Amino acid sequence: MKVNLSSRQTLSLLSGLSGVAGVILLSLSFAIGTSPLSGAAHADLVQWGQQNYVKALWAAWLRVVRPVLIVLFGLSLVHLSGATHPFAGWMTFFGAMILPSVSLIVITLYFSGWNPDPVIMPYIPLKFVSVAQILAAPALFLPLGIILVSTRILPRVFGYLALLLAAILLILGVDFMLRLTLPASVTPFVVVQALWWLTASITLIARSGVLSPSQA
Amino acid sequence: MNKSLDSKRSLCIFGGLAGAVGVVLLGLSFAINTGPPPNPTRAELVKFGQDNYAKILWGAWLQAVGPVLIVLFAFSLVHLARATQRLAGWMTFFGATILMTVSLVEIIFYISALHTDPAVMPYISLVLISAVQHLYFIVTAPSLFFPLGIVLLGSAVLPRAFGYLALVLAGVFAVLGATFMLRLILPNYVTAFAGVQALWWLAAAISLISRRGSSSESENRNQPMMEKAV
Repeated sequence: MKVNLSSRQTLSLLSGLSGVAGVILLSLSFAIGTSPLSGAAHADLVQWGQQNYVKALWAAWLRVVRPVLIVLFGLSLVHLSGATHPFAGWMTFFGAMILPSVSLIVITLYFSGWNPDPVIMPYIPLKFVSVAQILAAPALFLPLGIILVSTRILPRVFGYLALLLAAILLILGVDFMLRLTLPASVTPFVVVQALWWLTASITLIARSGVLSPSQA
Repeated sequence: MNKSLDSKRSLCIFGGLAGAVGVVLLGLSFAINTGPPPNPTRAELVKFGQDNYAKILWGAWLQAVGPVLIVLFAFSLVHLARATQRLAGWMTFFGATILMTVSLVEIIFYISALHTDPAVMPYISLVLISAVQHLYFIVTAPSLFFPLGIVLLGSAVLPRAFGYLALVLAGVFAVLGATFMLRLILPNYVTAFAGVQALWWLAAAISLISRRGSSSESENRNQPMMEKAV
């Protein structure tokens, strides 16, 4: 019993740290990775690429690694709440698959954009990058919110906020479906979900000392 | 009890065979689809596609089916280690899905490379294939081998050496992914290193098949350890 309890505490601590690290990587990727001006000419785009080569590729690396850490945290929440069997647990697992899959496809295109030949190459990823977050996030937040509302692994407010985020991102996805490039006003929601992951991770770390099996 | 033993033995045999066949299929795919010569012109690339049309498509098929069998083997290991409801087991499922996703994305570009209209299509596909190959090192191999290594260390399904080797492979792949991050096309010796993981899968599959009789007994002996593990 004692071993089991300490294992839960360790898992809470490590997965919380994983969530925090994931958000830090995301912030770093936004801090060092810049985007070229919309509608830039090919010569400008190539020049921008040469000037920002190192920064942008490290930002891409951060964006590849980040979802793994976030997923580890998300699945730890499912595991700690004892929801690995129920439908919501499996749907969280499904959402956790969608998030990195979309991210990996986008990063593949992002990498390819650094090849100046053929001429069209740098333009291709610019058309893909902006839509990724809106597509993927609701699939993860909705089932995770259901789990968090029905368990005490985190304060219930996190569950309701996850459901709210899922709904907002879903509505935004539908609302802007007919716009090929998402407007800048939508991107702050990426920051909002990052804040959710950060506060949830910190809360889990803070509660790791008081977690007991009965809280599942 | 007997029935359970039988089914466990069957799982060892079929899971192991799936792993071995998966590695063979992957090996065949690399053998028949060798890729175009370095820095080809557009004309050379189109000619390579025309000359190797069937080989490229069968190579793509083998690369799609091979990982499915390897994933089946990995899931068998998780199942036999009774880790299906543990976090490490779930993270192995997650890593396996990443492997399939990256592999299928790469295959899409193999097939798209054979389209000659628009003329730039083979070139674009080749660039995208080079981009995808980074992902195997940065995230695919580490996200599968790391949790699988933890699962194997928490059970007696395979000798512990396989667990430690899986963790080492995860670390080496992650380091290679970060080290060669700034090179748009991975050097041949780095991509060739991917063959090491095939050796791991093959040795693990053969080991599982050969241990089919003793797995049940050793599992029972290690039961407390398995429950303790994450």
